[in-house]
Amino acid sequence: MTKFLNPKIFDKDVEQVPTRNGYGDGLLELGARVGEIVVLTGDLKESTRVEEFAKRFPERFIECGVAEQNMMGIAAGLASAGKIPFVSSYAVFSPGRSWDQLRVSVCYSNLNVNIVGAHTGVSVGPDGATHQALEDIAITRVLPNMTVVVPCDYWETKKATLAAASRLGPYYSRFTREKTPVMTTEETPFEIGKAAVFADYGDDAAILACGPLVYQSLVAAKELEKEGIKVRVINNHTIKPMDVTTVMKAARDCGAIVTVEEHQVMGGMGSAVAEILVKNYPVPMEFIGMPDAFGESGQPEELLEKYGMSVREIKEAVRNVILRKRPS
Amino acid sequence: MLLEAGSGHSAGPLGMADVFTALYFGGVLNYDPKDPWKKDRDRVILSNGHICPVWYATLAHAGFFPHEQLVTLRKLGSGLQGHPHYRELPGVENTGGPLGQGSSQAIGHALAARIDGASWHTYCLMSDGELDEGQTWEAIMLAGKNNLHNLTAIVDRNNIQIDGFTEDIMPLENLVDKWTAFNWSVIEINGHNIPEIWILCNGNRSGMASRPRRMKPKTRYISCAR
Repeated sequence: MTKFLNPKIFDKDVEQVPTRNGYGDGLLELGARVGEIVVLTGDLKESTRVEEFAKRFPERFIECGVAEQNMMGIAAGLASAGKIPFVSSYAVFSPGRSWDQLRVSVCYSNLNVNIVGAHTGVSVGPDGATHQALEDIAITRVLPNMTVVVPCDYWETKKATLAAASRLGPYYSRFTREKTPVMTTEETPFEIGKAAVFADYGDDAAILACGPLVYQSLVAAKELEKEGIKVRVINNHTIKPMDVTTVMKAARDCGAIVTVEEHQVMGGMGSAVAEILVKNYPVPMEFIGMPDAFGESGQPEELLEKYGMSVREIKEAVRNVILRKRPS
Repeated sequence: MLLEAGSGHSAGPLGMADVFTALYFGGVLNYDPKDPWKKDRDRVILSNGHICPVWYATLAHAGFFPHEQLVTLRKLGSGLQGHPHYRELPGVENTGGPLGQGSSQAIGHALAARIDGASWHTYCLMSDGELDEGQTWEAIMLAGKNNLHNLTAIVDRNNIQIDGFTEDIMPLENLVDKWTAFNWSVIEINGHNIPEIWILCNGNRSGMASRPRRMKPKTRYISCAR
């Protein structure tokens, strides 16, 4: 285990915090420091964690009501006028409903608009399929000029939020609803576009994961080691621009890749990894993610289990991909 | 320009020529073609981007770029894109085309000016056909809620859209009542009467209006109909 991670990571009482809290705390820091920061929301102040910003900086908070298309367009106008807007909603609504405005008003103009989509993945749970965003990575990464980041825990979300403010061009980041283990610490290095090796037991295979499922991937790697299977776990948080060097090194060193994400397999992080590898260094791959299906109501852990994103499935994918490795 | 391009819209741009003339040459807008992005410039946001030929022609006449460029409209490598692209040309303030998006962009500009306490004014030019878009009404609602006095929307009420007359495709009337109900101050003008456009725009700038103001240029179509 890499030394800069939370030392209590595998303890039963490991701290659990929703990633979106890191967004709210990051915005508060930015609000005090950067006068250009403006926060918008569409009737989701509390659940996107921008309530405190609205209280402290009311003149830089814009409540748009339940109108995501207008909200995205307003953000484009604000950015054209030199502001640094953060557009906060659930991912199914923004960028889901506001995708045309994101494409035309924001991305084509290459404006400094930061979009965050809360409530992604089946782990949204009881709300059901309508509110479980499973396509947002695909629809944002396909847009030119876009940066797409999927932070793995509270600290990484906070750091990503701070980094987004000073990054040029449109930026999208997604959060989950539930409390998830805090894997990193305040000191863990983070850089957009730089994937991080979180565990390196060996080079039998590499797991490239993003979002809170990095945790399940680390647990899977730890358990596999007991079986004598030694893998590398990479936190591949930046979907675009992806860290080609680290992805290629994993393929060269390990010769087999498993990608893990709480998103449709089609068009997601795994697809982006495959695009890189197919062109440069093809190796066998397995994809953990949503299998071209809609979710449903249920408890987060039940849903992750049902749709194949549990520790057990990750381990199985690793065993399978190793069987498919070419003899060296 | 359109003849040379071999495609594009002609009626919309011609119908709005007087409005563009009044804005740019009637002393309404604060702009400087030598410093096209100066901080205190007034913002023109073209929401119905397809009428951009009249915007491009106006900007060339105003000295933002040479007239010779006008014939490059819709050609490979030209800054005169088929629908306007943000800052692709000096004076082109927004990306527009897919209808309804300019109204929200204009609100963003107006809100930014308010946050900064800046005095520049935002003018949003719109078509009546794009009032079919839900986004437009989201924008109208928000501007009304926020009392954006520093925003003026000018709707080209020409009664026509691609598939026919607006009242047949998707009835919009009574438009004045609708906008008024959303907390806008609405003034109907003859969009081909330059002194009327001039007086109304400047009236707004001097702070006479207490609420966002929309001016409704009547084209010859509506003049005949009423």
